Amino acid sequence: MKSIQETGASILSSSPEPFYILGGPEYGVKQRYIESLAKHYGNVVESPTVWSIISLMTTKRLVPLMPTLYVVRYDESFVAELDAAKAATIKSANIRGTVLCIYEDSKQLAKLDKFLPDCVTSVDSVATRFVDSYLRSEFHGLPDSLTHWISEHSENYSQARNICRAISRLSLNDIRGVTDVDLEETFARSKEVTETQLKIAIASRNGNAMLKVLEEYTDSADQIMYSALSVAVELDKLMDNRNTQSPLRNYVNRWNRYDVYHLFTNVYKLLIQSRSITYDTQHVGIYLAALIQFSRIPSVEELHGI
Amino acid sequence: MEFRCQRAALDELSTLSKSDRHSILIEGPTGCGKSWLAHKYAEFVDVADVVVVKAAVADIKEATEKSYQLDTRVLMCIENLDKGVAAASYAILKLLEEPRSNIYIAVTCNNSIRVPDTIVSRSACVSVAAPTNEDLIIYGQHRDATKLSMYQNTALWRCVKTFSDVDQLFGLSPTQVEYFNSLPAVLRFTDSVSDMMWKLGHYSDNTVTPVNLVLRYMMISTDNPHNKKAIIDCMNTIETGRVAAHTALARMLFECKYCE
Repeated sequence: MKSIQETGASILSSSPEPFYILGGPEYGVKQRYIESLAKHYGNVVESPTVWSIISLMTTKRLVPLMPTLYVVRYDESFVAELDAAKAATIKSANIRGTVLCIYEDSKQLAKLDKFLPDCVTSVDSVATRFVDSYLRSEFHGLPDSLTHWISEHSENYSQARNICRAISRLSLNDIRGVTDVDLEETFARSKEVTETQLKIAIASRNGNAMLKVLEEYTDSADQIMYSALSVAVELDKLMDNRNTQSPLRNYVNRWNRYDVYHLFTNVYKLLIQSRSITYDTQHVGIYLAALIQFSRIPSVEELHGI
Repeated sequence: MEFRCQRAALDELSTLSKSDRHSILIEGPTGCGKSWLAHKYAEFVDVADVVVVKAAVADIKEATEKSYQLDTRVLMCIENLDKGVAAASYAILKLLEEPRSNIYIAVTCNNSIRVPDTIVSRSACVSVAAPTNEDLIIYGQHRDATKLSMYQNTALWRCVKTFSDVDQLFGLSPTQVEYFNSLPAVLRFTDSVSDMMWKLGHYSDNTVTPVNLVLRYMMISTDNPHNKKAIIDCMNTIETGRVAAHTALARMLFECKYCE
């Protein structure tokens, strides 16, 4: 199997190889190579199968074919039928141009690599530093600081490329005026909030902070309630022993035993009520954010008038 | 071995077997012998193969597919259907709507109200009572007469309410029996809730305790009515399965620790 660097150097050179197989999740790299080869040959043909192209190449003709980029996407029959004889046919075929086979999954590559090791490249997630260097080489008009920020904050090379393409459409003056804050507001992906962050927000007794955390929290209402119950159990433990290792240690002074008990009992009641089919669990977060802000958390009886 | 609690159910099953009912629903409290009765029904209808299946979709589907391939007759005993997810009930429904002549289905549950009506209406329902004290003694005698005489006059025996409790009790090691003797110390509720949860849920060797037995032991060990009520509420909640058992336990401990 070839490395991305070897394949990239070969594709971006003036004499690319006749046959490439690229497999893996990083679509941005594949797209870049397609564009580069398309620019090199000037002609692009999309084909459903590899063998239709090989058959084209092995047919005798008076007028030779123009060198062309042939792109074949997700041809599963090629993988299924490939054997040593067919691999030999491909190697000996006089391909006019380049055949580029694209696969999304890396799992096909094992078999392809067995028979065509010089053609196969696994295009996995690209490391940030390579994303940065690819962006700089492709988008010369963008400042290095910008490509650096984009490579750091994008989920993958494909996304980074798309962001660079979008920014490249601005005028030079506007590009120079783009700041980190602008990028953050426009392109920054929402960070996943962890359960620990949620528990800290609850223990902090800061309703605003809690609502902010809940905006990004993707887990279920059930999990929110179990997290709140867990906070009460941890605070109880901290009250018995302030030296306990816990991320909530800094917040124990904001609680007394009365409030810890009523936090637990109120959320527990909510949990039991949520087992009723008619109960709307969407307001759990708001209920909790309101509950923790009471200077003295009311009892279940006081809150529900029982 | 004949138990008073199962007498009526056995008579009913014997009658049902004469009409060759292919689907029965056995309802009764945990540990009263529902699965054993399903096996008895298999004997009544002369079915040698009994497959016990958990109330999970994947298990039911797998057992169903295997049964379809058999030429011989088989009884599928699906345990505790009311504790499984709704999808498990629908997996059985297909089997009931398109019955095969070689397949018998016995569903067990604690409470038939939690079983979909479509299953109840397609099954012959048989109820089993909780075992009486005499039933438990007969069972204990049969299982291990020596251990019965060892435990019968102890507080631990007073915690035993079902046949499976007897099995659990007789299976305790000396260290595990000693654990129950040390429970009153936990009942002072001076530790943190999380520490008490751990102690109630684990023996000293970190293996898991039979929580129901532990809770009943706590019930008979405390005179405090407030604590007794909290323990009863905890046992009821665990029985219904509405919340995780450890959450119900935490609730009980908060109640006992903070509101004595």
